This record gives sequence, C-alpha cells and structure tokens, in this order.
Amino acid sequence: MTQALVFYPTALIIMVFSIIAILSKKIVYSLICAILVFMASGVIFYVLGAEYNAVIQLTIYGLAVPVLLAMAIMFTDVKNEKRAIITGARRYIILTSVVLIIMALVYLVAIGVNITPEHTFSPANTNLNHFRIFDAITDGFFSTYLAAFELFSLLLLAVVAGVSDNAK
Amino acid sequence: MLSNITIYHYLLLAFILFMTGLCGVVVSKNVIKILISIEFMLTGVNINFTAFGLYCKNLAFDGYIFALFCIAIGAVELAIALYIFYAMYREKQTSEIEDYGDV
Repeated sequence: MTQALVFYPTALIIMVFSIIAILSKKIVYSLICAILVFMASGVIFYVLGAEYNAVIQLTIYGLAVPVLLAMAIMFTDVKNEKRAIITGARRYIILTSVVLIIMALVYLVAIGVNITPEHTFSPANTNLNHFRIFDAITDGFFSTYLAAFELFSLLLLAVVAGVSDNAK
Repeated sequence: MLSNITIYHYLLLAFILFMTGLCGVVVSKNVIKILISIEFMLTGVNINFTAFGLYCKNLAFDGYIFALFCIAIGAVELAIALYIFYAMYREKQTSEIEDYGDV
C-alpha cells in the first residue's frame, strides 16, 4: 500500500512535468521541469528497492546534469528562440505518440483494477532494502563487472583529459 | 486493486517517459531541449532496467548495475554533447538544430 501511495503521485509528476518540459517555449522552464522529472525518477528507483541507483540518480541527474545544462543555457543566447513549428510528418508522429500514451494510460488503469496476468511477482513479498543492494553492487563492481568498471573508468579519464585539453 | 504495483506499472511509466522523450527529440528545435529529451529516454530505460532487476529473479542485480552504468554514460554523453554544441554555437551563433545542417 505504501508503495502505491508513493508510486502514483511520483508517476503523475514524471508524466506531467516531462510533457511540460517538452512543450514549454522557454528553455529555462524546460530545465526546471526536467529537474523535477529526474528527481521523481530517483524516488521511483528508491521505491523499486534500488537505493544506490536513487542516490546516483539524484546526485548526477538531479544536481550535476542541470548545472551543466544551466551553464549551456547561460552561455548561449536564449532570447532569439523560435517556437517549434509542428508541420508535415512531425504532426503524424506526435499524433501517434499521443495515441500510444493514451492507450498506455488506459492500460495502466485497467491493470490497476486487478486485470493482471497470473503468476506475476506479488508486491506483498517485495520489501524495500530486502536484498542488501549496497553489498551486492559493490561485490559486482569488484568481481563480475570488474572489466566493465575499469573500461568505464578509462572512458571517464579520456573525457576529462579531452575536455581539459580543449579548454586550454 | 490499485494498491498492487506490478512490474507492468513500472514498464508503462518507463514507456510513457521514453515516448515523451522521443516526441521531444522529434519536435524540438532547440539543441538543449533535444538533449533534455534524450535524457528522458535514458531515464525511461533505467526505470526498465531497475524494474526487471527487482521483479525478475534470474537477473539478480544485473538490472541495477546496468542502470548505474547507463546513468554514468548518459552523464558523460551529455557533457560531450554540450561541449560539441557550444563549439558549434561559437561558430553559428544559434541554438536551433536546423542551422547546424552543414556541420
């Protein structure tokens, strides 16, 4: 029950503010809505029992990425923005997307009134923080996924070196 | 019952977020807004990964770790894209995507 109390408002925030972010004329409003969406996604991760992912989501997408985007907005001229003109094939793509979203919402309500398939995992057996996520992820980083972890570190190092070199 | 949150709820939420991001990529003309839309799509994918990681027992923690890598690589991708955008902006003096057609 607690999971539902958190999930539905958070999902509503994500859906509404993501659409506002796309449709907003001013890029700063888009950024503010995007921050809300990213933070609400962190809450969703927490509800899913992945608190480590939630912390990473909140720190990277909730703080670091908006700072980068805000810097980019400040460095560029936002006064000369043109309004997005929806013409031609784009109109049909948007229409299809809207129809799909409405169908998804209808399906969401339908499964909400217990039309779920059988043999699904019961949420009653799902407890938050039940799986000792921190231990599992740290074990994974330093055993099974060691090569990927090292490769990713090299990628980050290359990015930092490249940006530093170009910033001169 | 509405109190039963299943994997389908998370998958649908992720789908809606992904579609919103895709819609934004198609419709938007501002480069920064397109990047924000791409981040929405990545967030939808991350929700999928995490939901599968929780509900599918055979995946164990692979979903969580994939989502972590996806978050980090998404941030790196955004940083590089913003750098490229700023380099192009200095030359073109515009943030509209259509003006970058000859790059």
